Amino acid sequence: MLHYLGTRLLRATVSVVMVVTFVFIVLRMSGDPAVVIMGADAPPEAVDAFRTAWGLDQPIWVQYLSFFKAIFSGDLGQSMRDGRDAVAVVLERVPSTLALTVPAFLLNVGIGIPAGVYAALHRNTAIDRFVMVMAVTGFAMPSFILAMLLVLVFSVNLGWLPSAGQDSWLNAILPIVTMGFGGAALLARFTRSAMLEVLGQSYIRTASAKGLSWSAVVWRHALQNAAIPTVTIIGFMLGGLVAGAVVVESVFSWPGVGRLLVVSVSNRDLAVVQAIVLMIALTMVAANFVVDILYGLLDPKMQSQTRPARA
Amino acid sequence: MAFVQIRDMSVAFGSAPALRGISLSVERGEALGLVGESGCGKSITWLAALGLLPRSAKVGGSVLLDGVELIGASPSVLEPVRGGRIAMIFQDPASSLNPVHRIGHQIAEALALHRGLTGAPARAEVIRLLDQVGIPDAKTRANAYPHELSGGQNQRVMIAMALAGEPELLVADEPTTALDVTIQAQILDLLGTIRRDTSMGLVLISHDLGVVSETCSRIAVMYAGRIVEQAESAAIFANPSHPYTRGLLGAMPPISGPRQKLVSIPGSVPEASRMPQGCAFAPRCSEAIADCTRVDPAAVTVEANHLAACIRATPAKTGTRTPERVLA
Ligand SMILES: Nc1ncnc2c1ncn2[C@@H]1O[C@H](COP(=O)(O)OP(=O)(O)OP(=O)(O)O)[C@@H](O)[C@H]1O
Ligand code: SF4
Ligand SMILES: [Mg+2]
Repeated sequence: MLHYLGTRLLRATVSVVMVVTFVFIVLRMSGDPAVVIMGADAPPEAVDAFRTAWGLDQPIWVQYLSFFKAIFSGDLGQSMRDGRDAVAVVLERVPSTLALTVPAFLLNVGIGIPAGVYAALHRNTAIDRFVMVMAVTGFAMPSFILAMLLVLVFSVNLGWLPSAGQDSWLNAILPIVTMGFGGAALLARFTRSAMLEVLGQSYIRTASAKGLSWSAVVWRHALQNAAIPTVTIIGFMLGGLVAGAVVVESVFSWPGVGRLLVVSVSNRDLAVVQAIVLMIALTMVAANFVVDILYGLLDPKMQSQTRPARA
Repeated sequence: MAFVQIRDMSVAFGSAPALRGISLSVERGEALGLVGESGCGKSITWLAALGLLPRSAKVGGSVLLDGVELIGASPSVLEPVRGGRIAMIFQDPASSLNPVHRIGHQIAEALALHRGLTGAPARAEVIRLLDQVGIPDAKTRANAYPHELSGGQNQRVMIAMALAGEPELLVADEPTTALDVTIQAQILDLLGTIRRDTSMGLVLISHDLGVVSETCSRIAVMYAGRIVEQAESAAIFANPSHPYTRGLLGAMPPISGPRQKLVSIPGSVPEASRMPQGCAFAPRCSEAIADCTRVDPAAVTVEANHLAACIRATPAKTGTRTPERVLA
């Protein structure tokens, strides 16, 4: 198990370095931040002065190295817009984003998994078909379209819920539902197929042949096995949730990290974008690390180093 | 009355008949071999009897266990029977055990169900059972996961799990097919030993007449969802009365003596959805006559306790042609 954890930790570190490097390169190749910040009409001397002040005149590898140095000292620079600490700018948006993503994630798991299990256990019944239609719809429909539909129905036509802003908890409902539905649909589909796969296995027949009731077979023998591939999907889903937050926060004008990212990218506010990307990367890597640990706990093959013995 | 009495059992998946009227009985403590090519319905005969087929399977006929009907029985009737009176082990031991549970736990489950054992007594019994089936270092091995054991050891675990419920009958469905030859012999030996030590009956399913004849006193030969011949093992070898049985015997390698070319039966088993008219074996039968494609042959008594379902089988002098369902 220790060896297992060690390799996962190493993998996680490499992932972080790669993501940060990638963003560093892409951002600097897509436009000159000095020009973007100062405006295209700014006098060249002002642009040059800006470059010197922000270290943008240094060779790119110097910028790169100093960036890594800054990360380890916890200093990600200042927002180029207002000169505030980039990390602080990002952190103050985090609670707003968590207020959407945590309930959305709970919806994903709380609806997706039971719906998938139920559909698998009642394969080819009306309920199974209903779940699958919902799942395919939720999976195929881009989240901004679902968001528009929800706004149209619940804000414009019925007038029940606000469509934008962050005035009360009512504002959170539509964005949460938008994100919750897509993820639940994805998870329901995967859970259903994982469950069907497991139910067709020989050891399920063995468990029945042993005399266990069907519910005991499902609870004790099927669910843990079906959880193994499902947990992997949940890991991927977290990435989808972050991407979803960017879209949904923009549509609903929700002042979270996602919207900050969109605004900062279009402003070439390098320090803020890098802080966000680093935070997202760390979150994702941490989430996948947790998934790996869960995986190791669920699947004994992952942790065991015993070689098969001879008969 | 026989311990298990199967009468005119049929199984269909959709419109394709997989079992077409099986009648077979197993006496208490008896060792019966069930032989036939892949796909002839050996496994589903016993899966259907225990109600273990998917819901899509349509099962007809009757299976009486000590006079109690199992076909269509409720879970409260079937669950104590499964593992408690009739246990079943399967072809591929590696995939027949749950990969996420320790083997000791999987055996203990059967102990709790059928003997009410839990905690320390269950633990002790698990170790005793593992010992009995020849797993070395049973105490440690009880904590192993299936992937930490070899195929042969996993099959021993399956046998231990089957023994846990102290069943009256063990149905071993090709228990050695997935194992190497030396391990095969060990597992068959083990089944023999257990039968000597307990009064447990055995149904040994195999496609190998040789394997079955060593262990079983009676043999039933299946072809395309039917039993085409059944008799004492010796009688099957001495007087094989169905051309398919003769074909199987011809395909058996001689146990000793010079290697000779094996005569395998030409052609292949008909698909369930395209059963030929008349005798299902007719397209492959070298002895077929015109009538074979018209009449579906009923079982004939060729000698005492020896039935064959071939219109060319010669009935014993006293025997009369009787429909299969009445005889068995
Ligand atoms: N779940 C199922 N759905 C559809 N058809 C099935 C199912 N299970 C078995 N069959 C069909 O029933 C027939 C008999 O299957 P069975 O497993 O009993 O064969 P078998 O004699 O045990 O063969 P083998 O030696 O390969 O184990 C086969 O033709 C198979 O295709
Ligand atoms: S009935 Fe005819 S075809 Fe069938 S086994 Fe006998 S001889 Fe062959
Ligand atoms: Mg089989």
